[in-house]
Amino acid sequence: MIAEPDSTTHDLRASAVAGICNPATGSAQAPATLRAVIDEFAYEPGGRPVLSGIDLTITTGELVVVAGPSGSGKSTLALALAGLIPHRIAGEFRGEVTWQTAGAEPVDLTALPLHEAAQHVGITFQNPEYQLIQYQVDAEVAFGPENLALPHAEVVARVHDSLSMVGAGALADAAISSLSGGQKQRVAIAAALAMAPPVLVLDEPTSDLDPVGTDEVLKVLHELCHVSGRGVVVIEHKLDEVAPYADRVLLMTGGRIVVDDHPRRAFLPTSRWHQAGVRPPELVTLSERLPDYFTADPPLTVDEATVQLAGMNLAADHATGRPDDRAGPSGPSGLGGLGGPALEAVGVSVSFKGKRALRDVSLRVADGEWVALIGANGSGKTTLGSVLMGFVAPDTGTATCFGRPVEYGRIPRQADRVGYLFQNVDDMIFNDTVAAELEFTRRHNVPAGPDAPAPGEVAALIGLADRTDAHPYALSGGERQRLALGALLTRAPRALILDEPTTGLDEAHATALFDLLARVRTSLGSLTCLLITHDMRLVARFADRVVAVREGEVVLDTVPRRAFAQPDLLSRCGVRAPAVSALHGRLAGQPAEVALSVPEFVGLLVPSLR
Amino acid sequence: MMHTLNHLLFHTLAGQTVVAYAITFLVPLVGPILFLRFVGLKGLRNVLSYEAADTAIHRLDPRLKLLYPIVITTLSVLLNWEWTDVLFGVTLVPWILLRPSALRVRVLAVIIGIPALLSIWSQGLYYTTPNDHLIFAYPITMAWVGTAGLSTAGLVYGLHQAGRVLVTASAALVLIFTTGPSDVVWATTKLLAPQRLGLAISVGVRFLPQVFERLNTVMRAAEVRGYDFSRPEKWWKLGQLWNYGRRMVRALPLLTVPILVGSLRGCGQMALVADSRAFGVNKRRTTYRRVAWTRADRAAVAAAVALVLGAFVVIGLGGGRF
Repeated sequence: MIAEPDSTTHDLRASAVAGICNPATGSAQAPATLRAVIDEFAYEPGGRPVLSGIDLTITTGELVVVAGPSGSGKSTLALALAGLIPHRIAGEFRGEVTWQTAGAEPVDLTALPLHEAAQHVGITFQNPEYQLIQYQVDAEVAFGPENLALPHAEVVARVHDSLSMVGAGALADAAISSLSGGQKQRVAIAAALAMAPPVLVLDEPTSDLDPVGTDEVLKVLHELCHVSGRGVVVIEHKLDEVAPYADRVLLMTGGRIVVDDHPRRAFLPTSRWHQAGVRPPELVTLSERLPDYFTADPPLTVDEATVQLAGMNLAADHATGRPDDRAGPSGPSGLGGLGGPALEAVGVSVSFKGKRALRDVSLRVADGEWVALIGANGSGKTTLGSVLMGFVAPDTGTATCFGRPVEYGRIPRQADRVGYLFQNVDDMIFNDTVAAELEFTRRHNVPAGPDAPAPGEVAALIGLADRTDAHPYALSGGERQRLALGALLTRAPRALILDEPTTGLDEAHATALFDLLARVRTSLGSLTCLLITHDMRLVARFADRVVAVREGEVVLDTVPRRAFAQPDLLSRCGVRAPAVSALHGRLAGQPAEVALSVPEFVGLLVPSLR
Repeated sequence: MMHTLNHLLFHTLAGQTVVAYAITFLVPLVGPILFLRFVGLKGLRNVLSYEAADTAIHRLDPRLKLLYPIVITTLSVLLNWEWTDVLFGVTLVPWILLRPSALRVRVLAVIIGIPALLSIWSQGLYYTTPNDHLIFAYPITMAWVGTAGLSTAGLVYGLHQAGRVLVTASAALVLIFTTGPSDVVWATTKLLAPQRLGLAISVGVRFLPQVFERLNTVMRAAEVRGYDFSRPEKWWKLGQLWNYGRRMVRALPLLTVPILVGSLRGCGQMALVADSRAFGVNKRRTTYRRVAWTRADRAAVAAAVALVLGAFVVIGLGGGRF
């Protein structure tokens, strides 16, 4: 008993099915285009335009990367491309988004019902958690086709094909809640693909993924583009990773597209990107610094750069002993001058439901040291941080915090010595003004030490002194991050555990956060940091030491320049060295230490050749 | 000594007031105390979760298992209390087949027992009939509570009602214990005509564990800021217990903000996703999943039909409630 859908739906469905069953027919042979001409869009009538002067054409078969600082309008553009503006997002919209196949009249997506627009342009959001609304993977992917009342065989085919395309066929029977972040992202993409849209828009699809997981998702998108013939629009901060897969790169600032070019040209001059607060690919920056060596187009991969720099001489005594130009507060990567142990785990093992998360892990973080904990999603990094904070009791082993045993479940007892910045800082915000948030300790009679700074001092330190009456949710993402950090600082902790602190932040905000930490260190005299992160450029820039965790075991514990000289081991940990470090390793034949930044790499050139 | 105490408690206004306060406010606390002592939030999560096993009941069509508590609850309303107790015995048969662990039985007993106990207490206070015999008459100082006191008739009626609570809980927990969430969602959406209700249940099942996780995270975040949720080490120290209770109550609005904000943001995105996946476009959806009807399903239907017919015979013979 299936109700016959109306003819419009039927026609769309037929074309969509054709698209997924024989992708080449829809795009490879006859490319179709998605065009957005948006004069202006503001979320409130008469309000500040979030998008203006947009004229963007996406052709099926191309992968377009959209970059830009936070608040530049990237996500709003994605919503507009997917037809969610003005259908479901209120605001003042002037413009049109049209879909046109060869020889046909353009279809105005803004005039179509949302479910019909969704069969032209699919969208996945940054956080897959809230876009997976079914309990089980296959039910999630089948949800759209079932709603379209497709025949059972067609629904089954779409579920199977969509999951296969994203390499998630084996997950069909899995519960969504049991999936890792990367797996959830794949399922979200599969669910959008099951609607058979010729164009897919993805808002930061890799934000929670480790470098290897990121690469896997990007390969899937590349295949969707160049094998299945779909158009793919990716909003992404990780330009080093995504640039090699891109056909076009867009830079947005202030709601406008200011760059739209091939990735080999789009990033030059890099100063334009830095001014916008966006980090261009390292290799492009390197090529810009060395125009005599990079005579061809800027390289986008380490392989390309290696070819272009083949035969180049690098100083043998490169990094060791050179002044460290990193901004990390502890100076050179050696551990000299650091104090006794601030955080220490000895022989720690942890299991969850019979699955071993940590195996006999020992870690010592010295007072004043900044240690980066790296590894793949699910490798045990956060579990180790949780043990050190007292969130999780180890099955075996002990943990101490400044010489005192960590008391599990008694978190407030160590919270005056160590603070924990959660990945989602919104979970840490409880009050309705910035001032109230910073006065949390006093309002709730939490004992504060004699060194605890006054809320006003903290507000000044985090740069929110003029916004103390603002509602925390009215702040930008970067400001909320600073507020959450400031709230921790009101107890003057001597150590901080930072869980993925820069996820979703652009370069400017990420740098501002670490500049703030450096100021805090100066202000407090000493600050120990355990940084859990996937951002290797951040590690290269700020960490004194790198500890890599793989399947619950510490497999690497050394200074960054030595850690990044071990690409095979890093790869097994789900991690990739920064491009410049990898390039140095490749050119020098796997040296013991590698350069960590572009200036450092340039400094390694034999002077006569520099 | 005893005589004096008896006099003070039952024959003075102050003593009667103290006893009345204890009956009114301390008895209901037994439920939460038993719950925290023997179950806890974590235990509730574990015990109310599906446990995969290869039993005949696990293999039954989820739709039958979804209908089972509905049918049993309906029968418990129609039967008188003696036969309701017999029905409770019937609902134990699936549990015998399932053979749950001793730990789970203990927790289940607490979960089922607490509502039954509260049912007896509340009916004892508020179920009134003409010429009630009051075991304890409330003094004038307790007039604001709205009851004359603890009545025999009320306690007996509460006992009867408790039987119905036990029957309902026993049947419902079989469903939860033996049916995977995806099966519950599927069965619900198949049995319920309104798509929106089906989606609401699906989203609820999907996000319930996440709400617990978020609650856990937000509590940790508050603890990192110095807010103390830890239970008093010596519970008999009333001062510590009082402070603990006060901290917990004060934390409610504190914890609600981030959870609510996160959930509302998530809801907005979920609505966008549902719309863009054509939700509600067609009155009838097709289905990806198909469940084959087995011999065990037919046997279960036969047993259910026999039970219902038997119940109607009993009702016809005067074993009904109405």
